[in-house]
Amino acid sequence: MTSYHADRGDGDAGTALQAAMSACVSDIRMPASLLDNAVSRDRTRKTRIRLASAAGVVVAVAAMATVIAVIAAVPGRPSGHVASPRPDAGPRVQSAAYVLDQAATAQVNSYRMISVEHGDGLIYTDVATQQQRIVSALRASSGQPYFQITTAIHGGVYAETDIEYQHHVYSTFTTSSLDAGTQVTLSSFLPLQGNSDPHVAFQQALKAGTIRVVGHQSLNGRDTILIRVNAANKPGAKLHWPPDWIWIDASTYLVVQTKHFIPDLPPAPGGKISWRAIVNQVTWLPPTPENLAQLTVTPPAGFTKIPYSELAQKYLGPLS
Amino acid sequence: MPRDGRYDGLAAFLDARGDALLRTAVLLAPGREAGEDLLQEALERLLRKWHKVDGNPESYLRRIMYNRAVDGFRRQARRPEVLGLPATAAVADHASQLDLRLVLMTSLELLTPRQRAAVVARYWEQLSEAETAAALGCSVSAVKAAAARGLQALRAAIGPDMDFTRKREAGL
Repeated sequence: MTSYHADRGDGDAGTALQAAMSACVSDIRMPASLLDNAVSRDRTRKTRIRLASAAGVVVAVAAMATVIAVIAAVPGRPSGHVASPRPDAGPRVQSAAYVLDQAATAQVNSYRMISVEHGDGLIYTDVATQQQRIVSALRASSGQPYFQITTAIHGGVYAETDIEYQHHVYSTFTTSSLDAGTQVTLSSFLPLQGNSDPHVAFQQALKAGTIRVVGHQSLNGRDTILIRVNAANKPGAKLHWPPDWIWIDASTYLVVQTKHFIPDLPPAPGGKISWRAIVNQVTWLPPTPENLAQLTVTPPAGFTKIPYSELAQKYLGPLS
Repeated sequence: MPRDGRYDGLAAFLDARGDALLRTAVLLAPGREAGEDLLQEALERLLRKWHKVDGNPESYLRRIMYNRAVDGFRRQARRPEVLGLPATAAVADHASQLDLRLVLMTSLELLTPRQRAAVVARYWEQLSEAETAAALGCSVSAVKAAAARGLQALRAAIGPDMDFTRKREAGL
Protein backbone atom coordinates (compact mmCIF):
# COMPACT_ATOMS: atom_id res chain seq x y z
CA MET A 1 0.00 0.00 0.00
CA THR A 2 2.79 2.35 0.85
CA SER A 3 4.64 4.01 -1.99
CA TYR A 4 7.82 5.45 -0.64
CA HIS A 5 9.61 8.00 -2.73
CA ALA A 6 12.91 6.34 -3.37
CA ASP A 7 14.22 9.32 -5.27
CA ARG A 8 13.99 11.36 -2.12
CA GLY A 9 15.38 8.59 -0.03
CA ASP A 10 12.12 8.15 1.83
CA GLY A 11 12.22 4.40 1.37
CA ASP A 12 15.19 3.86 3.63
CA ALA A 13 14.13 6.55 6.02
CA GLY A 14 10.61 5.20 6.15
CA THR A 15 11.86 1.71 6.78
CA ALA A 16 14.09 2.87 9.59
CA LEU A 17 11.30 4.95 11.05
CA GLN A 18 8.83 2.10 10.86
CA ALA A 19 11.33 -0.21 12.54
CA ALA A 20 11.93 2.29 15.32
CA MET A 21 8.24 2.80 15.86
CA SER A 22 7.64 -0.90 15.94
CA ALA A 23 10.40 -1.45 18.47
CA CYS A 24 9.05 1.32 20.65
CA VAL A 25 5.42 0.34 20.86
CA SER A 26 5.43 -3.39 20.23
CA ASP A 27 5.23 -4.15 23.94
CA ILE A 28 2.34 -1.79 24.62
CA ARG A 29 -0.88 -3.43 25.67
CA MET A 30 -4.19 -1.74 26.12
CA PRO A 31 -5.17 -1.60 29.81
CA ALA A 32 -8.33 -3.54 30.53
CA SER A 33 -9.69 -0.54 32.37
CA LEU A 34 -9.66 1.74 29.34
CA LEU A 35 -13.07 0.71 28.07
CA ASP A 36 -14.50 0.69 31.59
CA ASN A 37 -13.21 4.19 32.10
CA ALA A 38 -14.69 5.30 28.81
CA VAL A 39 -18.03 3.68 29.61
CA SER A 40 -18.01 5.21 33.06
CA ARG A 41 -17.27 8.66 31.76
CA ASP A 42 -19.81 8.30 28.99
CA ARG A 43 -22.48 7.24 31.45
CA THR A 44 -21.61 10.07 33.73
CA ARG A 45 -21.75 12.48 30.86
CA LYS A 46 -25.15 11.18 29.81
CA THR A 47 -26.47 11.33 33.32
CA ARG A 48 -25.16 14.80 33.86
CA ILE A 49 -26.54 16.28 30.72
CA ARG A 50 -29.79 14.35 30.70
CA LEU A 51 -31.83 17.00 32.37
CA ALA A 52 -29.97 19.81 30.73
CA SER A 53 -30.41 18.13 27.40
CA ALA A 54 -34.04 17.47 28.02
CA ALA A 55 -34.57 21.05 28.98
CA GLY A 56 -32.48 22.16 26.06
CA VAL A 57 -34.56 20.13 23.72
CA VAL A 58 -37.65 21.42 25.37
CA VAL A 59 -36.39 24.83 24.61
CA ALA A 60 -36.21 23.80 21.04
CA VAL A 61 -39.92 23.43 21.00
CA ALA A 62 -40.13 27.16 20.94
CA ALA A 63 -38.56 27.07 17.59
CA MET A 64 -41.63 25.43 16.30
CA ALA A 65 -43.80 28.06 17.78
CA THR A 66 -44.27 30.14 14.74
CA VAL A 67 -44.83 27.15 12.59
CA ILE A 68 -46.87 24.72 14.56
CA ALA A 69 -50.07 25.12 16.31
CA VAL A 70 -50.87 27.37 19.13
CA ILE A 71 -51.04 25.46 22.33
CA ALA A 72 -54.48 25.26 23.71
CA ALA A 73 -54.82 26.43 27.23
CA VAL A 74 -58.10 28.16 26.87
CA PRO A 75 -60.45 27.11 29.63
CA GLY A 76 -63.47 25.42 28.27
CA ARG A 77 -61.97 24.75 24.91
CA PRO A 78 -63.40 21.48 23.58
CA SER A 79 -60.15 19.58 23.33
CA GLY A 80 -58.87 16.44 24.93
CA HIS A 81 -55.72 18.32 25.89
CA VAL A 82 -57.41 21.28 27.48
CA ALA A 83 -56.14 21.87 30.97
CA SER A 84 -58.33 22.68 33.90
CA PRO A 85 -58.60 26.40 34.31
CA ARG A 86 -56.30 27.83 36.92
CA PRO A 87 -58.05 30.03 39.43
CA ASP A 88 -55.83 33.01 38.75
CA ALA A 89 -55.76 32.68 35.05
CA GLY A 90 -58.21 34.14 32.67
CA PRO A 91 -58.78 32.87 29.18
CA ARG A 92 -55.54 33.05 27.22
CA VAL A 93 -53.59 31.35 24.55
CA GLN A 94 -50.13 29.92 25.05
CA SER A 95 -47.99 29.55 22.00
CA ALA A 96 -45.28 26.97 21.80
CA ALA A 97 -42.83 29.84 21.92
CA TYR A 98 -44.32 31.03 25.17
CA VAL A 99 -44.22 27.55 26.67
CA LEU A 100 -40.64 27.06 25.70
CA ASP A 101 -39.64 30.49 26.84
CA GLN A 102 -41.04 29.66 30.25
CA ALA A 103 -39.29 26.29 30.18
CA ALA A 104 -36.03 28.02 29.37
CA THR A 105 -36.43 30.30 32.33
CA ALA A 106 -37.27 27.33 34.51
CA GLN A 107 -34.15 25.58 33.32
CA VAL A 108 -32.02 28.54 34.26
CA ASN A 109 -33.70 28.76 37.64
CA SER A 110 -33.17 25.05 38.24
CA TYR A 111 -29.49 25.85 38.42
CA ARG A 112 -29.99 26.43 42.12
CA MET A 113 -31.94 23.26 42.81
CA ILE A 114 -31.49 19.58 43.39
CA SER A 115 -33.27 17.24 41.03
CA VAL A 116 -34.39 13.78 42.01
CA GLU A 117 -35.03 11.32 39.22
CA HIS A 118 -37.24 8.40 40.12
CA GLY A 119 -36.79 5.68 37.59
CA ASP A 120 -34.74 2.53 37.86
CA GLY A 121 -33.52 3.73 41.22
CA LEU A 122 -32.93 7.27 42.35
CA ILE A 123 -30.57 9.90 41.05
CA TYR A 124 -29.97 13.02 43.11
CA THR A 125 -28.29 15.81 41.17
CA ASP A 126 -27.11 19.17 42.37
CA VAL A 127 -27.69 21.03 39.14
CA ALA A 128 -25.18 23.75 39.95
CA THR A 129 -22.24 21.46 40.64
CA GLN A 130 -23.52 18.26 39.02
CA GLN A 131 -22.61 16.38 42.16
CA GLN A 132 -24.68 13.21 42.12
CA ARG A 133 -25.76 10.23 44.14
CA ILE A 134 -27.21 7.23 42.36
CA VAL A 135 -29.14 4.70 44.41
CA SER A 136 -29.98 1.39 42.81
CA ALA A 137 -33.50 0.04 42.85
CA LEU A 138 -32.13 -3.46 43.20
CA ARG A 139 -31.80 -4.47 46.82
CA ALA A 140 -29.12 -6.47 48.57
CA SER A 141 -30.13 -9.31 50.83
CA SER A 142 -29.83 -6.93 53.75
CA GLY A 143 -32.52 -4.74 52.26
CA GLN A 144 -30.09 -1.96 51.52
CA PRO A 145 -29.63 -0.69 47.98
CA TYR A 146 -27.49 -3.13 46.04
CA PHE A 147 -25.16 -0.28 45.22
CA GLN A 148 -24.79 3.44 45.51
CA ILE A 149 -22.57 5.67 43.42
CA THR A 150 -21.56 9.21 44.16
CA THR A 151 -19.75 11.47 41.75
CA ALA A 152 -18.41 14.96 42.10
CA ILE A 153 -16.09 17.36 40.38
CA HIS A 154 -13.97 19.51 42.61
CA GLY A 155 -10.94 21.49 41.51
CA GLY A 156 -10.97 19.94 38.08
CA VAL A 157 -10.84 16.42 39.42
CA TYR A 158 -13.62 13.94 38.83
CA ALA A 159 -14.12 11.64 41.82
CA GLU A 160 -16.42 8.66 42.03
CA THR A 161 -17.21 6.38 44.95
CA ASP A 162 -19.00 3.09 44.34
CA ILE A 163 -20.38 1.10 47.25
CA GLU A 164 -21.66 -2.44 46.77
CA TYR A 165 -23.73 -3.58 49.73
CA GLN A 166 -24.22 -7.22 48.84
CA HIS A 167 -20.55 -8.10 49.25
CA HIS A 168 -19.61 -5.20 51.53
CA VAL A 169 -17.04 -3.72 49.17
CA TYR A 170 -16.43 -0.27 47.79
CA SER A 171 -14.09 1.53 45.46
CA THR A 172 -13.05 5.02 44.58
CA PHE A 173 -12.01 6.39 41.23
CA THR A 174 -10.54 9.73 40.37
CA THR A 175 -9.28 11.18 37.14
CA SER A 176 -8.10 14.46 35.82
CA SER A 177 -6.45 13.13 32.72
CA LEU A 178 -8.61 15.21 30.42
CA ASP A 179 -8.86 18.25 32.60
CA ALA A 180 -6.24 20.22 30.83
CA GLY A 181 -7.24 19.25 27.33
CA THR A 182 -7.67 22.12 24.98
CA GLN A 183 -11.11 21.01 23.90
CA VAL A 184 -12.42 18.37 26.26
CA THR A 185 -12.66 19.45 29.83
CA LEU A 186 -14.56 18.15 32.77
CA SER A 187 -16.30 21.47 33.10
CA SER A 188 -17.91 20.85 29.76
CA PHE A 189 -20.10 18.33 31.53
CA LEU A 190 -21.58 21.05 33.67
CA PRO A 191 -24.83 22.61 32.59
CA LEU A 192 -25.04 26.13 31.30
CA GLN A 193 -21.35 26.09 30.46
CA GLY A 194 -21.44 25.72 26.74
CA ASN A 195 -24.07 26.38 24.16
CA SER A 196 -26.54 26.70 26.94
CA ASP A 197 -28.63 29.76 26.59
CA PRO A 198 -31.92 27.92 26.48
CA HIS A 199 -33.55 30.69 24.52
CA VAL A 200 -30.90 30.39 21.84
CA ALA A 201 -31.37 26.66 21.89
CA PHE A 202 -35.06 27.23 21.19
CA GLN A 203 -34.18 29.02 18.01
CA GLN A 204 -31.75 26.33 16.98
CA ALA A 205 -34.35 23.69 17.58
CA LEU A 206 -36.86 25.69 15.61
CA LYS A 207 -34.57 25.52 12.64
CA ALA A 208 -34.02 21.83 13.21
CA GLY A 209 -37.76 21.25 13.39
CA THR A 210 -37.38 18.20 15.54
CA ILE A 211 -39.77 18.87 18.38
CA ARG A 212 -43.29 20.01 18.98
CA VAL A 213 -45.47 20.97 21.87
CA VAL A 214 -48.30 18.48 21.98
CA GLY A 215 -50.44 20.22 24.55
CA HIS A 216 -51.66 19.99 28.09
CA GLN A 217 -52.05 16.63 29.72
CA SER A 218 -53.08 15.62 33.19
CA LEU A 219 -50.38 13.54 34.80
CA ASN A 220 -51.51 11.95 38.06
CA GLY A 221 -53.83 14.87 38.54
CA ARG A 222 -51.13 17.40 37.75
CA ASP A 223 -51.46 19.84 34.90
CA THR A 224 -48.49 19.29 32.60
CA ILE A 225 -47.50 20.19 29.07
CA LEU A 226 -46.40 17.33 26.89
CA ILE A 227 -43.55 17.81 24.47
CA ARG A 228 -42.48 15.42 21.76
CA VAL A 229 -38.84 15.26 20.71
CA ASN A 230 -38.22 13.46 17.46
CA ALA A 231 -35.08 11.40 17.25
CA ALA A 232 -32.49 12.48 14.74
CA ASN A 233 -32.68 9.33 12.68
CA LYS A 234 -30.42 9.24 9.70
CA PRO A 235 -31.86 8.06 6.41
CA GLY A 236 -31.07 4.43 5.88
CA ALA A 237 -30.13 3.81 9.50
CA LYS A 238 -30.89 0.34 10.74
CA LEU A 239 -32.43 1.62 13.92
CA HIS A 240 -35.22 4.10 13.65
CA TRP A 241 -35.47 5.54 17.14
CA PRO A 242 -38.85 6.53 18.52
CA PRO A 243 -39.36 10.05 19.82
CA ASP A 244 -38.71 11.08 23.40
CA TRP A 245 -41.54 12.54 25.46
CA ILE A 246 -41.15 15.20 28.10
CA TRP A 247 -43.76 16.46 30.52
CA ILE A 248 -43.21 19.85 32.10
CA ASP A 249 -45.26 21.29 34.92
CA ALA A 250 -47.79 23.74 33.53
CA SER A 251 -47.13 26.17 36.38
CA THR A 252 -43.41 25.92 37.08
CA TYR A 253 -42.39 24.66 33.62
CA LEU A 254 -39.87 22.33 35.23
CA VAL A 255 -39.48 18.85 33.81
CA VAL A 256 -41.57 16.41 35.83
CA GLN A 257 -41.42 13.29 33.70
CA THR A 258 -39.43 11.94 30.76
CA LYS A 259 -39.98 8.93 28.59
CA HIS A 260 -37.51 7.52 26.14
CA PHE A 261 -37.00 4.19 24.47
CA ILE A 262 -34.12 1.80 24.20
CA PRO A 263 -33.93 -1.14 21.81
CA ASP A 264 -34.16 -4.68 23.05
CA LEU A 265 -31.10 -6.24 21.53
CA PRO A 266 -30.35 -8.47 19.84
CA PRO A 267 -33.29 -8.14 17.46
CA ALA A 268 -35.85 -10.90 17.26
CA PRO A 269 -35.56 -13.40 14.40
CA GLY A 270 -36.45 -11.53 11.28
CA GLY A 271 -34.65 -8.45 12.43
CA LYS A 272 -37.62 -6.71 13.99
CA ILE A 273 -36.56 -4.55 16.90
CA SER A 274 -38.81 -3.94 19.86
CA TRP A 275 -38.44 -0.90 22.04
CA ARG A 276 -38.58 -0.67 25.79
CA ALA A 277 -39.90 2.51 27.36
CA ILE A 278 -37.89 4.10 30.14
CA VAL A 279 -39.93 6.49 32.25
CA ASN A 280 -38.41 8.76 34.86
CA GLN A 281 -40.25 11.05 37.21
CA VAL A 282 -38.43 14.16 38.32
CA THR A 283 -38.94 16.13 41.50
CA TRP A 284 -37.09 19.25 42.55
CA LEU A 285 -35.66 20.16 45.94
CA PRO A 286 -34.25 23.40 47.29
CA PRO A 287 -30.56 23.23 48.23
CA THR A 288 -31.09 23.09 51.95
CA PRO A 289 -28.39 21.43 54.09
CA GLU A 290 -30.67 18.44 54.55
CA ASN A 291 -31.20 18.06 50.83
CA LEU A 292 -27.54 18.62 49.99
CA ALA A 293 -26.70 15.83 52.40
CA GLN A 294 -28.57 13.49 50.08
CA LEU A 295 -25.75 13.88 47.55
CA THR A 296 -23.12 12.10 49.58
CA VAL A 297 -22.72 8.68 51.11
CA THR A 298 -19.93 7.18 53.15
CA PRO A 299 -18.87 3.54 52.89
CA PRO A 300 -20.09 1.78 56.03
CA ALA A 301 -17.55 0.62 58.58
CA GLY A 302 -16.23 -2.83 57.82
CA PHE A 303 -16.60 -2.54 54.07
CA THR A 304 -13.48 -3.51 52.11
CA LYS A 305 -11.93 -1.16 49.62
CA ILE A 306 -11.06 -2.89 46.36
CA PRO A 307 -9.69 -1.69 43.01
CA TYR A 308 -12.17 0.15 40.84
CA SER A 309 -11.72 -2.24 37.94
CA GLU A 310 -12.47 -5.22 40.18
CA LEU A 311 -15.62 -3.64 41.50
CA ALA A 312 -16.77 -2.65 38.03
CA GLN A 313 -16.12 -6.00 36.44
CA LYS A 314 -16.64 -8.53 39.20
CA TYR A 315 -19.43 -7.03 41.27
CA LEU A 316 -21.30 -4.35 39.34
CA GLY A 317 -20.62 -5.56 35.83
CA PRO A 318 -22.82 -8.67 36.10
CA LEU A 319 -25.74 -6.43 37.05
CA SER A 320 -25.69 -4.77 33.67
CA MET B 1 -19.55 1.58 37.20
CA PRO B 2 -21.21 -1.41 35.55
CA ARG B 3 -20.69 -1.81 31.88
CA ASP B 4 -23.74 -2.35 29.72
CA GLY B 5 -24.10 -5.68 28.00
CA ARG B 6 -24.62 -3.75 24.80
CA TYR B 7 -20.92 -2.98 24.82
CA ASP B 8 -19.91 -6.62 24.81
CA GLY B 9 -19.27 -6.44 21.09
CA LEU B 10 -17.02 -3.48 21.58
CA ALA B 11 -15.16 -5.26 24.37
CA ALA B 12 -14.54 -8.22 22.11
CA PHE B 13 -13.37 -5.92 19.36
CA LEU B 14 -10.94 -4.20 21.73
CA ASP B 15 -9.63 -7.52 22.93
CA ALA B 16 -8.58 -8.16 19.38
CA ARG B 17 -7.61 -4.70 18.20
CA GLY B 18 -7.10 -2.60 21.31
CA ASP B 19 -3.34 -3.08 21.47
CA ALA B 20 -2.86 -1.99 17.88
CA LEU B 21 -5.09 1.02 18.34
CA LEU B 22 -3.26 2.06 21.49
CA ARG B 23 0.11 1.75 19.76
CA THR B 24 -1.09 4.09 17.06
CA ALA B 25 -2.49 6.45 19.69
CA VAL B 26 0.80 6.44 21.59
CA LEU B 27 2.62 7.52 18.45
CA LEU B 28 0.02 10.12 17.57
CA ALA B 29 -0.19 11.71 21.00
CA PRO B 30 2.80 11.06 21.42
CA GLY B 31 3.52 9.24 24.65
CA ARG B 32 2.09 6.38 26.64
CA GLU B 33 -0.25 8.27 28.93
CA ALA B 34 -1.25 10.77 26.28
CA GLY B 35 -1.95 7.87 23.96
CA GLU B 36 -4.20 6.21 26.51
CA ASP B 37 -6.03 9.49 26.96
CA LEU B 38 -6.42 9.83 23.21
CA LEU B 39 -7.77 6.31 22.78
CA GLN B 40 -10.07 6.65 25.79
CA GLU B 41 -11.46 9.88 24.44
CA ALA B 42 -11.98 8.25 21.07
CA LEU B 43 -13.82 5.41 22.82
CA GLU B 44 -16.03 7.87 24.65
CA ARG B 45 -16.93 9.50 21.38
CA LEU B 46 -17.56 6.12 19.84
CA LEU B 47 -19.88 5.17 22.68
CA ARG B 48 -21.98 8.24 21.99
CA LYS B 49 -22.56 6.97 18.46
CA TRP B 50 -22.39 3.28 19.24
CA HIS B 51 -26.00 2.59 18.33
CA LYS B 52 -25.39 4.09 14.92
CA VAL B 53 -22.14 2.35 14.14
CA ASP B 54 -22.59 -0.28 11.50
CA GLY B 55 -19.96 -2.91 10.99
CA ASN B 56 -16.38 -2.65 12.15
CA PRO B 57 -15.82 0.27 14.51
CA GLU B 58 -12.08 0.35 13.84
CA SER B 59 -12.21 2.82 10.99
CA TYR B 60 -14.47 5.07 13.04
CA LEU B 61 -12.14 4.92 16.02
CA ARG B 62 -9.09 5.59 13.89
CA ARG B 63 -10.75 8.55 12.24
CA ILE B 64 -11.59 10.02 15.63
CA MET B 65 -8.05 9.51 16.86
CA TYR B 66 -6.48 11.07 13.80
CA ASN B 67 -8.87 13.97 13.78
CA ARG B 68 -8.29 14.66 17.44
CA ALA B 69 -4.55 14.32 17.01
CA VAL B 70 -4.57 16.84 14.17
CA ASP B 71 -7.05 19.14 15.88
CA GLY B 72 -4.71 19.57 18.75
CA PHE B 73 -5.23 16.85 21.27
CA ARG B 74 -2.68 18.25 23.68
CA ARG B 75 -2.65 18.49 27.37
CA GLN B 76 -1.85 22.03 28.30
CA ALA B 77 0.07 21.00 31.35
CA ARG B 78 1.62 17.72 30.44
CA ARG B 79 2.18 15.33 33.21
CA PRO B 80 5.71 14.05 33.39
CA GLU B 81 5.78 11.32 30.83
CA VAL B 82 6.35 7.93 32.38
CA LEU B 83 7.91 5.71 29.83
CA GLY B 84 6.01 2.51 30.23
CA LEU B 85 8.03 -0.51 31.06
CA PRO B 86 7.72 -3.38 28.63
CA ALA B 87 4.85 -5.62 29.55
CA THR B 88 6.84 -8.79 29.11
CA ALA B 89 9.93 -9.71 31.00
CA ALA B 90 11.16 -11.43 27.88
CA VAL B 91 12.39 -8.17 26.41
CA ALA B 92 16.12 -8.54 26.53
CA ASP B 93 17.27 -5.00 26.90
CA HIS B 94 14.84 -2.82 28.80
CA ALA B 95 17.19 0.10 28.99
CA SER B 96 17.80 0.11 25.26
CA GLN B 97 14.12 0.01 24.51
CA LEU B 98 13.36 2.79 26.93
CA ASP B 99 16.13 4.88 25.43
CA LEU B 100 14.86 4.23 21.94
CA ARG B 101 11.36 5.14 23.01
CA LEU B 102 12.61 8.35 24.54
CA VAL B 103 14.42 9.28 21.34
CA LEU B 104 11.46 8.48 19.14
CA MET B 105 8.88 10.22 21.29
CA THR B 106 11.08 13.25 21.67
CA SER B 107 11.56 13.34 17.93
CA LEU B 108 7.86 13.03 17.24
CA GLU B 109 7.26 15.90 19.63
CA LEU B 110 9.19 18.10 17.23
CA LEU B 111 6.58 17.66 14.52
CA THR B 112 3.37 19.56 14.12
CA PRO B 113 0.25 17.52 14.87
CA ARG B 114 -0.56 17.16 11.18
CA GLN B 115 3.00 16.17 10.29
CA ARG B 116 3.04 13.64 13.09
CA ALA B 117 -0.30 12.20 12.06
CA ALA B 118 0.83 11.95 8.46
CA VAL B 119 4.09 10.27 9.44
CA VAL B 120 2.34 7.79 11.73
CA ALA B 121 -0.27 6.98 9.13
CA ARG B 122 2.24 6.56 6.32
CA TYR B 123 5.14 4.91 8.05
CA TRP B 124 3.59 3.12 10.99
CA GLU B 125 0.17 2.19 9.72
CA GLN B 126 1.46 1.82 6.18
CA LEU B 127 -1.53 3.63 4.80
CA SER B 128 -1.46 4.90 1.27
CA GLU B 129 -1.49 8.61 0.64
CA ALA B 130 -5.15 8.42 -0.30
CA GLU B 131 -6.02 6.44 2.82
CA THR B 132 -4.08 8.88 4.94
CA ALA B 133 -5.86 11.80 3.33
CA ALA B 134 -9.20 10.16 4.12
CA ALA B 135 -8.18 9.55 7.72
CA LEU B 136 -6.96 13.10 8.22
CA GLY B 137 -9.72 14.72 6.25
CA CYS B 138 -7.38 16.56 3.91
CA SER B 139 -6.12 16.35 0.36
CA VAL B 140 -3.52 13.92 -0.91
CA SER B 141 -1.21 16.79 -1.69
CA ALA B 142 -1.52 17.97 1.90
CA VAL B 143 -0.59 14.47 3.06
CA LYS B 144 2.45 14.46 0.81
CA ALA B 145 3.57 17.81 2.11
CA ALA B 146 2.99 16.95 5.75
CA ALA B 147 4.70 13.58 5.51
CA ALA B 148 7.67 15.02 3.63
CA ARG B 149 8.10 17.86 6.07
CA GLY B 150 7.69 15.49 8.97
CA LEU B 151 10.40 13.25 7.66
CA GLN B 152 12.56 16.27 7.01
CA ALA B 153 12.16 17.39 10.59
CA LEU B 154 12.96 13.91 11.86
CA ARG B 155 16.04 13.75 9.67
CA ALA B 156 17.17 17.06 11.08
CA ALA B 157 16.78 15.67 14.58
CA ILE B 158 17.99 12.14 14.08
CA GLY B 159 20.25 12.35 11.09
CA PRO B 160 19.90 11.80 7.37
CA ASP B 161 19.79 8.02 7.67
CA MET B 162 17.24 8.10 10.51
CA ASP B 163 19.41 5.83 12.62
CA PHE B 164 17.61 6.02 15.93
CA THR B 165 19.98 3.54 17.47
CA ARG B 166 23.01 5.69 16.82
CA LYS B 167 21.21 8.76 18.04
CA ARG B 168 20.20 6.90 21.15
CA GLU B 169 23.80 6.00 21.81
CA ALA B 170 24.76 9.61 21.28
CA GLY B 171 22.24 10.52 23.95
CA LEU B 172 19.67 12.68 22.23
